[in-house]
Amino acid sequence: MDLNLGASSSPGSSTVTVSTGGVRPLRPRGSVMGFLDRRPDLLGWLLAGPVFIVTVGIVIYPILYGFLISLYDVHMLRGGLPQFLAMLEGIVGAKAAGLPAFLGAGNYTRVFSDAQLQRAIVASVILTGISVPLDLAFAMAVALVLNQRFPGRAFVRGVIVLSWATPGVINAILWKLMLRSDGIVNGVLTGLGILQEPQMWLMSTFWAFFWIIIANLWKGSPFAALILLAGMQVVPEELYEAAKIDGAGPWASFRNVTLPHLRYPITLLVILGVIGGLTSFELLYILTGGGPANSTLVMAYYVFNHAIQWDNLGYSSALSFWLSAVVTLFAAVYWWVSSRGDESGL
Amino acid sequence: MSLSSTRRFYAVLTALAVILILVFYLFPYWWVVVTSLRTQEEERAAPWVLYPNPVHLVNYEKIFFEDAFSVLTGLKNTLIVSAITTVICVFLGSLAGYAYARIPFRGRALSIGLMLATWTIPWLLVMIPLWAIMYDLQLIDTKAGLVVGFVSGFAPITTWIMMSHFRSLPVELEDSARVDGCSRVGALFRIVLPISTPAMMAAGAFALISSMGEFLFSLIVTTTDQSRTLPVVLASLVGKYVTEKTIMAAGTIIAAIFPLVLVTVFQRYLIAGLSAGAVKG
Repeated sequence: MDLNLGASSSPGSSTVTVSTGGVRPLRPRGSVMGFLDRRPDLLGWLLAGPVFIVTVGIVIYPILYGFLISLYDVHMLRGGLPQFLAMLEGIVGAKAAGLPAFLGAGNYTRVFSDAQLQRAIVASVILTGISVPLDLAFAMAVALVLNQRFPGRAFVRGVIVLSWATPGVINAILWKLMLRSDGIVNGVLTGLGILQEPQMWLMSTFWAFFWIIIANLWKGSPFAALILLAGMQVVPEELYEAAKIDGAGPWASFRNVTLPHLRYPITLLVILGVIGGLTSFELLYILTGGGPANSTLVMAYYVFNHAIQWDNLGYSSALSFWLSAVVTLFAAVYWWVSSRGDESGL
Repeated sequence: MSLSSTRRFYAVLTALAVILILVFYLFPYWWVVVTSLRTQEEERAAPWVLYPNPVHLVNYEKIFFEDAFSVLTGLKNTLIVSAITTVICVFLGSLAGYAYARIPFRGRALSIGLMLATWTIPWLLVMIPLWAIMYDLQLIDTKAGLVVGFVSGFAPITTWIMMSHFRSLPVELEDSARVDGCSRVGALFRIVLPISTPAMMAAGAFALISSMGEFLFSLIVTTTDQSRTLPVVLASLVGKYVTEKTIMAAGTIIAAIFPLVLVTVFQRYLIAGLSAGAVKG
């Protein structure tokens, strides 16, 4: 539908050119602008080209380069382009001086015997597996409350928007400050008599996971709540009236009227949550540093450490391709679901 | 239970839930603001208070007048880089968005698809090669390097917002201008862009908020105060116990205030765009 808008205005451009000899004095044919008007291909690429180059251009080369790096035993990188070309030739057997050892698929198969990676996968799965349903359930409760009429509703919505808009780094720092031994979490819990003395929360594996999940909830649930709220607000009021007449209580009308209307947003939120969970990095980097004893070293952090801390650039690249493949799979499911949502008119 | 008492029961329940929601979402900010308004000595003597008494601005003074822990330097870098990124993203995004929405050129659908695909690529995948590009271009530890990276990361979003906006405008508007002898580019700059300020502001807000919170790329590309952004500066301080907690708190509030004000001002546009995409699909 929308695409036709552009197409329908193109005959318009030819009408203008044809009517040059008509009543209105038009721009002379020879001007640059008139020239461009008659060449939509050129004009289109002139306007869209810059963004295309800085996005696609800047990404394609690194992806190719990253793939080359993943085929070699690279531990140090000095300068991009010369090494890129040397590696490219190295694939077909040319041996440039200082070229790292060619491993082929070696870095990719190394993942199957990497015990630390298996722990990272477990940590990622635990965090994602708890965070996604918890965020969704909490967001649903928040959305149900915000769907009621009460004074100050816009204010409450504004408040939850603030946590959604909080940059991930700031979220991590807020919780890091609160979880210090002299932080307010210890203050409140000792004040209420729940704790005898302040805890070093992030020194315990269990509590580190616990607080990561809470910090995730604080930043992640508002987005889900806003999406669910928007979904609830398009449910026709008559359906609730009809349910009430049929004698349905609040729970029954939620299950049979509200929930079916939210099927599509919930699917999207789950998929987005999984993608976000598997690639989460900032919160872990700042809050726990992967500790204690690497227990919260999730996949993205593990990839980062191989590249930045341990200088295993080749292996890190291979890992990031594995991770991206998994994420792309979920993104594909996302597109599939959203296009189906379009067709069924949800 | 009579009808009115049922209703009262639900009203009380809603009120309780609203209070819990407000406490959960506001408390972290509240406590960190309180901490930022106290002196280091007060904080050592009694770390657990729920309101400042009396209010001290000493931490903010130390940051703004003495550049304590390079927080001010980081803020300056962040503001410069984010502002330039935003201007470039909105300008280029408007041009590209217009072309994608209105001009039927060869390769349009493919280039839209590719551009949006770059959006879904995890930064981890391009992290090392991107560093190598920056090294080749001698952009490591420069603000220009950050701008290049940010623009390539956030231009798809601004282009998408502008494209959706241009598609929603009536075509007749430009057609009438063009009948009057205006060229396509002329119509874009004289007619279409001037009435698109709200969309450009929303796109700009997106780019600005994203730039101010960006962390992973900045962490890798920056090494000294010459280019380190505020998120990187704060992250480097947070684990160290030598850092005064009260100054840390003030720095956090300074870093958070810009995105929070922006999102509050542009809430209507941002939420509308957000929900339209997710509810309709």
